[in-house]
Amino acid sequence: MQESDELLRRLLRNGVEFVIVGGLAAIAHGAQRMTQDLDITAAFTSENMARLLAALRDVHPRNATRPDLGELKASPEELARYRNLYLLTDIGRLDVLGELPPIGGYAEALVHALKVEIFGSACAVLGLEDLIRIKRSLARPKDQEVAAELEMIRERLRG
Amino acid sequence: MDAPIDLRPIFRSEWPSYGPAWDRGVELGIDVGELERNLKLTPEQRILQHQRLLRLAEMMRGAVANARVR
Repeated sequence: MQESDELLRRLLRNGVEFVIVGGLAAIAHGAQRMTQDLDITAAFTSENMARLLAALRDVHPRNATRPDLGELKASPEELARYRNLYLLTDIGRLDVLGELPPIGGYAEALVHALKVEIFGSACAVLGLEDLIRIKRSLARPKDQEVAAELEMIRERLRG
Repeated sequence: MDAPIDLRPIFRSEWPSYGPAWDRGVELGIDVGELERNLKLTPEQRILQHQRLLRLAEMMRGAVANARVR
């Protein structure tokens, strides 16, 4: 089953540089719709990919789109050349995005990210405005519904 | 069979309107009471609450699958 909390603990414990995006970011901002995976945007550098591999080593990360290829064997240097990583682990799905249209990527997501305390560590969550922008750019009805709720939350917080 | 319960009139009467996005969300059927409860939590509490719901959903799926086998 999906254990996003344990995935987050591992990322934080290993010092991975990332921002929570997607459905869990919406939940962190107060939205209600459940999500089955964990989406993050991360720095695609060799150093950060090494931290990511260290965080996931014992939960057997493999390519979520090609699980038949077995456990991920790429080096941090190779992973740093990827644009996105769609991973399946023993404790759930983790999508690591280098590209985050229409925002840009990790660096841009970090600019307006909300810094929150999670599991005793500082963690970045995509800012509400950026999250709304992304959700509005997606055509799926479920994203439009989440965008509508996030816009409600924005108005509610403004009072 | 009873019609689905439409809570929108209650949401409209019990909560003030915070603006057009708020009103649109109410019309879409977003549960305002649940939203208000979520906003009282910290981001960490919201994530943990979501994880508990995921675990419950997984348990229920298993229980239903077992019941169908029997």
